[in-house]
Amino acid sequence: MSRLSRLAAVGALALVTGVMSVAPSFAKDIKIGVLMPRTGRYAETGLSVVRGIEMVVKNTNDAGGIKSLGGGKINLVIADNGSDPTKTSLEARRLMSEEKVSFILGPYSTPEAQAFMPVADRYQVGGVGLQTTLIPTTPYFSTISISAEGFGKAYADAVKWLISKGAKINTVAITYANNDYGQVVSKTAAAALAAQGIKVLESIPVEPSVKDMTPIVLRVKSLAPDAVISVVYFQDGVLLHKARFNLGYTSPIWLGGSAGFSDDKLWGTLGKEVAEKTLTSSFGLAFYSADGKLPGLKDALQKGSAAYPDKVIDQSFMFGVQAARFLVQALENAGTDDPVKVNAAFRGLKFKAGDPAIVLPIIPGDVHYAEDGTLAGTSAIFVQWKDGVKHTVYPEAVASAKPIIEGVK
Amino acid sequence: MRETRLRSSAVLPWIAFLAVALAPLMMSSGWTNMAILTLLFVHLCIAWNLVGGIAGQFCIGHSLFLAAGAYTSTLLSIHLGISPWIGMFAGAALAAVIGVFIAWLSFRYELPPLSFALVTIALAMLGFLAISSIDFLGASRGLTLPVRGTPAMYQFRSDTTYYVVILIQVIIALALSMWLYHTKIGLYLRAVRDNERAAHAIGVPVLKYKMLAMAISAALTAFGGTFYAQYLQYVEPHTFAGINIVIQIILLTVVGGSGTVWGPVVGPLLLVPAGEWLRHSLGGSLPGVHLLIFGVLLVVVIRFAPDGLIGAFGRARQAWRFRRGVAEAATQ
Repeated sequence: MSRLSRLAAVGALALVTGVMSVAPSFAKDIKIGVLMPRTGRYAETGLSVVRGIEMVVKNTNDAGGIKSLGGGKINLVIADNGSDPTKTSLEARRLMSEEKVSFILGPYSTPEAQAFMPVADRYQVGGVGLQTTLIPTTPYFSTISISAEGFGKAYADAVKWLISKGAKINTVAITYANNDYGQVVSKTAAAALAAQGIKVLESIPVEPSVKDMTPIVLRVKSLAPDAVISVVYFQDGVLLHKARFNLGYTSPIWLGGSAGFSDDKLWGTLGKEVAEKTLTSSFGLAFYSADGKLPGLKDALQKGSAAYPDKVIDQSFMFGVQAARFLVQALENAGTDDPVKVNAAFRGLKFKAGDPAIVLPIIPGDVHYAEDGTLAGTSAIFVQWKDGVKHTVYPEAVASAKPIIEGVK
Repeated sequence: MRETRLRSSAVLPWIAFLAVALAPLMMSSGWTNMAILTLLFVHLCIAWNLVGGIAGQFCIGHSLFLAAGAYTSTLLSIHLGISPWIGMFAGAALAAVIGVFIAWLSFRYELPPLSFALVTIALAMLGFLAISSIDFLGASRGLTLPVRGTPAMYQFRSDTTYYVVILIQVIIALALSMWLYHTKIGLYLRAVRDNERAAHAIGVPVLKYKMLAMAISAALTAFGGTFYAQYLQYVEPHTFAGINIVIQIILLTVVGGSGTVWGPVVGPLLLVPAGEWLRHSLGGSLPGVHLLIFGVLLVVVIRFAPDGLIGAFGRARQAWRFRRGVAEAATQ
């Protein structure tokens, strides 16, 4: 072998070795922002959401990362918005301009989303709202929740279903949290009920920061409705059930939601005596119930219990899991960390019924994003409590138990 | 010699302020956002200090003026397409009228100082409830500004431009505050603050000057409200009409030194970046700890500087001069 040949051989070897050593660098890690409340009013919920997101990201990274990015790992940049719209706007700017994230999981609530959307529009970085009940006004924001209008219609549909099951409902009273969400739900439900020929006796506004629900329950009692719809959060829901119990007013059919009737901590917070008298005969609007039949939900429950054995695997956790699983699929489809393309891939997501990526029981069938950024194919579920466990009773297609209806055998 | 010392004592804070204020222009965009928020609070604190500090009237209703500036310019922009550059003057005029009315209502009957605070807090709560309930004002959902993306509509592509706008606003507000402080108006207002009866007895038209202070303070706050709304491109009642922002303004001013010219500048310049930095650094990994540290920081400042940082600085400077004088006398 001549000296020239030896040099060529060594050069070729060096080139091959070099290429081999360079090959793993094709794997491109991707930065994802998580913009959630970790302090303030929604802190507990936000912390649970983040646990769900972290679990999915860890599982994905452990399983080899994003395949279309050569096994690139997802790096989360977690920011606290303090449950505050202004801080949401400021933190979103920071995540987009300084951290250069490709997509943001969050924010959590509707006012936070209102503040987030102009920023997303300006920086052209997408985000997904979790419990946001508005219809997005920018192509850079999507939601995995149901709109406030959707909630209103869901209550009216549930009343219609109860009538079909033998319940005598001619009159309804509505109590609602006096904010945008509550106002829209109440108005939509009242209109839909009126269209069904059901008389709405009164719609009673309640300040979300209410300290005692006794006057509200007394007012409802004086109206003597056949059924009551209560649009409440967790804390005012607890006060409502306690007031019902103390006044011995548990007879009308009571529907409500979401957290104040279906949160996984509700039974324990109320205590067995109050919960049995109030919750077992009520119908709670919910996004999630552990008895759901979806394969993705069962998988998430199993992994969640293993990862966080000392934590309650609740609705917020599942929202986090759902948003993260959608994002993982969007990243696989996008094959890039370009924020515009990642957002387009997110908006272009389509799943068949029963896909393992689907976790929330509110997505019972095929699902895709509509033009306005809302999920097409969602429908609220209603649960009833028995011995501290939630059972889905409506829609019947996904129900795991028969409903217990006041006055119907 | 004395004149030179006076001149340097007036110019040096300006130089220091401008040096600090211009620094973010050379830093990354993340710093620019923090600097914008800081200067916004400097602006709002200067505005509040005119009534709450210099005139000594403890007003808790400045959220009304902030909301007047934010909502007026936003509504004019959404419904009539009027540029917020013009709308901000309409907002300021509305805020001034509200301010004068509140002052007239409260001071005409010479109510004690605590009553003024209660009247303003009651009116602020009323304003919050009204804004949260009226659909035209966006109710509790708020209003999102349409994206027009043109400087003529007070919308900029770069955050640096927003920073320049708020910096100019702050310089104007600071110059106005300094001018007022040293003119007859400022003298009268300080006389009212120190002893209202004595001021009245020597012929100071107390009601007129209190109303004037409220009008200027309200209009300045409204300008801040317009800027804040345009920067966020979104208005909602909790941020713009809630009581929290007023408490924040008062706290920052008191920590800096209320009743002084530079106190409402120093307080936000130190505490807003500190709070934001703590949130960025610890908010993700140790939720809530940043609030705890910030609270401890506030307690320490208030404990060791009860008359504000400016007051503490003044005392320290006096003590240093005294020690230097003693040392010089000993060597002679």
